[in-house]
Amino acid sequence: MANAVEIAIEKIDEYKSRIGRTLGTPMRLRDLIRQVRAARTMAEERAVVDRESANIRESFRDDDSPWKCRNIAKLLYIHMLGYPAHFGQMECMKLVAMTRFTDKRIGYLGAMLLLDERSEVHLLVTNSLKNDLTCSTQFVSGLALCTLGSICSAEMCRDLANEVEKIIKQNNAYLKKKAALCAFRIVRKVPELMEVFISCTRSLLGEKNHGVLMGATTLVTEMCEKSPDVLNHFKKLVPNLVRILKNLLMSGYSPEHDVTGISDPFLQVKILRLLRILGKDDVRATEEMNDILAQVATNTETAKNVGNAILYETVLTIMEIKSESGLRILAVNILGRFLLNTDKNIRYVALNTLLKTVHIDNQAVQRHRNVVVDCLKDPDISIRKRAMELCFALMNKTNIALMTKEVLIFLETADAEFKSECASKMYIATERYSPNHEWHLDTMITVLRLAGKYVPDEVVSCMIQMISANSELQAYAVVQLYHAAKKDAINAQPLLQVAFWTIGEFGDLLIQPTDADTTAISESDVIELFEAVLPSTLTSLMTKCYAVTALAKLSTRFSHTNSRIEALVRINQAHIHLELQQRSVEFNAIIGVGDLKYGLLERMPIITHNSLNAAASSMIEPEEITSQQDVLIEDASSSLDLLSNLDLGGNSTSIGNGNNDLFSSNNAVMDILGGALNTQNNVAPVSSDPFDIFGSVPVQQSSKPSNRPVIAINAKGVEVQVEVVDGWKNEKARLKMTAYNYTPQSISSFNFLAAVTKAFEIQLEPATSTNIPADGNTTQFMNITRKVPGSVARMRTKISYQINGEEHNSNGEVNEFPGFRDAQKGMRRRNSESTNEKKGGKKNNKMTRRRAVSPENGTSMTSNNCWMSNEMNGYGWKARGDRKPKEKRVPFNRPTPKQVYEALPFVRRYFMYWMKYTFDKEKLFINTFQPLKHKPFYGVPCGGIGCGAIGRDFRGGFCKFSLRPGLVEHKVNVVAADQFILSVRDNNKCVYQKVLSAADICLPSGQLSAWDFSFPKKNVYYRLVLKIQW
Amino acid sequence: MMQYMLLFSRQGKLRLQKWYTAYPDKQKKKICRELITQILSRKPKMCAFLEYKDLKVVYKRYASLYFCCAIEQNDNELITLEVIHRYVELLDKYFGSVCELDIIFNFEKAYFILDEFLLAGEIQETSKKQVLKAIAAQDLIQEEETPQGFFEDHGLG
Repeated sequence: MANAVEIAIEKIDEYKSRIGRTLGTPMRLRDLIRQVRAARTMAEERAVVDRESANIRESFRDDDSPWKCRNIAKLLYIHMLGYPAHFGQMECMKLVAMTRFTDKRIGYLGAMLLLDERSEVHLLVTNSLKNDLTCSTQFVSGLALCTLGSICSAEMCRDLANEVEKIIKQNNAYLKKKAALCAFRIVRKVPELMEVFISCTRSLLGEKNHGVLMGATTLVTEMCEKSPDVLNHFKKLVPNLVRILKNLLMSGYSPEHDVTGISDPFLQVKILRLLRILGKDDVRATEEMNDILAQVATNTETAKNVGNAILYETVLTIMEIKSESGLRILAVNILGRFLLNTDKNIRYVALNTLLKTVHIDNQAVQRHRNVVVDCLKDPDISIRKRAMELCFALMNKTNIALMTKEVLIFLETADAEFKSECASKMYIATERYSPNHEWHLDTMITVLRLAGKYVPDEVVSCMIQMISANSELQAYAVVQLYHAAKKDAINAQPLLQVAFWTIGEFGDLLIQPTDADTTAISESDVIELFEAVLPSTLTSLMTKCYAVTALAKLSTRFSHTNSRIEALVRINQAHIHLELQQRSVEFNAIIGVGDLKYGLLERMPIITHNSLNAAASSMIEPEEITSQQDVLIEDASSSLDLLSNLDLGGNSTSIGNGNNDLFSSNNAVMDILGGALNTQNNVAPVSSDPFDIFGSVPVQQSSKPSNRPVIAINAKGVEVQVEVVDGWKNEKARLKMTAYNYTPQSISSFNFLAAVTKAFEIQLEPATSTNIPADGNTTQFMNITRKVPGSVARMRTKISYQINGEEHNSNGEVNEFPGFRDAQKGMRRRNSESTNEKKGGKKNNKMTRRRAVSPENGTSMTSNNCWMSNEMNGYGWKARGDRKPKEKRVPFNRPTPKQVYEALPFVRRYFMYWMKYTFDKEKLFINTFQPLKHKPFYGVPCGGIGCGAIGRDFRGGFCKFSLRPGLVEHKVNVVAADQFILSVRDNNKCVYQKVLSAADICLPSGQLSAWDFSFPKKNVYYRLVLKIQW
Repeated sequence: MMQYMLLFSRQGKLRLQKWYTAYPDKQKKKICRELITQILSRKPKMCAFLEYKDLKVVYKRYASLYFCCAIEQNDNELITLEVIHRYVELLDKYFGSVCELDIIFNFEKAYFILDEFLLAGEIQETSKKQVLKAIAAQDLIQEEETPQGFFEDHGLG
């Protein structure tokens, strides 16, 4: 019945409004809202709003419209819907200027919603506010204050601060509370205006009205935060505030301000916050408030949110003001109770606060560890996130084992976004607090397994670094990682990456039998893992790259499964991903190289941040080497390890031998070395080697202080170096052999044999050991007697040894000893291993050891030398760069008389053709009258005879190129800017650079000035091989 | 200090907005859009706080309306929940068991109540009675000065 009546009234109302509208009344607000709500689509709604906006705009033209108020109200609704309403700003100001309260009320509401601090009408607003602030009606002043609090710009603050201050001093509580908050807003906006309010604030705190107290507390808080001086000034207010708080706690039930049994929690919170600011770093103030804080903390009802809000604020205050420790424990306990609360909001707040306070009082927070850990299982994701952060903050040496267990359970079910962060944090925590390395490793393997693909790359590299740095851990790590990888082959790519790196590096440790009770892992087991993972499409590219590298390394560590390894390395040779393809191709080539691979694929040095820099420094700073020489002289034992780090230092053990008289001419070298050493053998055969580019590095030349060991044999990972300890003295010399084992296995029954030419006799002393551990060495001394004076010493060497019971043999030859000056005379370019070979070998070895493992570096040095020694001796036309052609004749320039006669008709025709073209200033295809002068140094064009293309000369220059057939771009001379340039870089610093050409190039000064064309001609060798068909 | 307060429906329609700090219009719209989608996508078992830019956002749902306040970092989230609740109580007392439609059709009244309760982003009056008394007095003035015609009422309508 009542419903029917309501509907009837509504109907009448609607008709009334329709009739009204036909008479010129604008649409009512509620009709507009109804229409908008009735709109079914956005387009309909827009149409309604646009129509009404147009109407409102129209009516604004009429200044005296009595409907302005209604129109603004509608406009505000339109504004809330998100449509433009800025055209109403001026109208709002006009409304505000009206006398009617309704107009002012709506006008100020519109001003608050439509204007902001940047509006241009601010001057108008300021004037209106100024008028209304002094209005006798308190509600009008109230509206003005409210507007000022919402939209006051800095200028308004300055203009109106005094008016606000006057209102604060008035005796009207309704306006006082508003004015206090306006003052707060003004102080926040323009802190200088603080002084205006300081005097009147104190009296405000004596008021009884809670609204005024709220405003006053807010204002004082803001002022204290802004200025330390004011903070000190208000410190004496602490007792007042404590009294207010005490009254609130003690007063009985006051219905007006009561919230579920707690009297005015809003005011309590405000006062507690002010106390926090006043008591910070102030012992006296802290003492004054300790009691009341304890009272609040113990007496507040915690059943409802309100009580907890107060407790929360109390805890913050207690933690901030450095109150007594008992109080602080009370505070942390409150947070601990919060954690057990059923309300998720309170748990969240507690975790957040604990996170903030954990650095202040870790011990106190530790006691709630279990509760925190339980929060990891909370259904709310934000709580879990905080709990995780707090868990990591709480971790330390004593609790890591326990905490880790819980965190790992959490990690297992955690969302993807947590896994990555959790994995990184776990690494940091375990690295810092792990009881031992095994535990660290096991935990991290579990983390990698659980976090799966979300583990960030840094964790992978940190893991690798950790395993690399702890040699005692490696054997354990490789087995554990192998088992982990086997179990979880595809789901955890980062785990696989770490596992593959470790297996690759320490594969030999993996297949060594460790304990009797664990089943031994065979080579084929390991390869099976790779066979399962590498071809899979689920494996990421990064993992595949790791796998291919690991396989390449395993090829030197495993003995029975090489064919399977090679097949696996090969499968990605045509992979679409370039990096993987390159690895596959390169490693396949390296595996096939033979003995070289042992050097190239040996174990990585310990990965630390500075290791590379330290190793590289010797090459750049020779001065340091010389200073280190002094040390070496004192310690002139066979500390070859140390010496090999010195790169070029050579062997200082010969310093002080009897070669003084023979080498007195090396003053230049000694000068460079500061004269610290007076016996040096400058034997660098710079000029003799075609590829001894390193020999011409100035740095190296100058810092060659003494005998270098020469490499007699370098095969299958075993290197034998021979060095002269004592040069010829009474036709006797003493040499030292050092054998290095770079294979991962240890060598047994090592035997070194040496034979010399008939002019010499040799005696071998027993070796220091016949067993060489992996990465170890052994030494043996030899004495040589020269029977025919002046003979050149040459030596053939042979080694035999056993690896895992398998017999190995290698041969080598030494034709030149850097320690014997005689050797310089002849035998320089014999086939087999000449000095440059030795140098190359040594360099190569250095490269791998220093781990600049770009295969180019390694292979080019040695294999080029091999290539030279073989290729230069084969068939073909050979020339050295300084060759002078014997033939004086210039080809094609002197025809015979018969040829002249026969060519006459052609000459006539050609002459006409030539005339025509020359007259037209066009270029002839072949200009016989101005022929190109050929030079006697061309090689055969690259790309084949007749193809045109590019021709090189035997000195290394590029000449004669005609790239586009028919278009003559025929250069007779060497093209200067077409060159290969060799750059030797060490640690990104270029130490040597030269153009690889000995051709005569004359350049105008300034052109290509940065290029060093001074390659020594006689170091260039050229061999022309023509194919049989030609 | 509260930076802004938004009221929006479960459908994501804005019902009330109060800005205590000046933002450009474009940014206001962006904040509304982002917060509304973010809050509506939260599950009921999640806590009532979220971090948005450098502010803490406290929200609470009453029936079909979400009340959402953005406060500063060192403000008390729990008391902000009480502020929201107090505002709802005020609306409830004023309209007599308030519903979303009341706020839609009388949004200006909702603003007036809010302005009597909060000022400059801080609580102005902690007594419900005082707030409602002030509102009633002002409504009375408004009523007295509005002439009522038969076909044309001069009020807001």
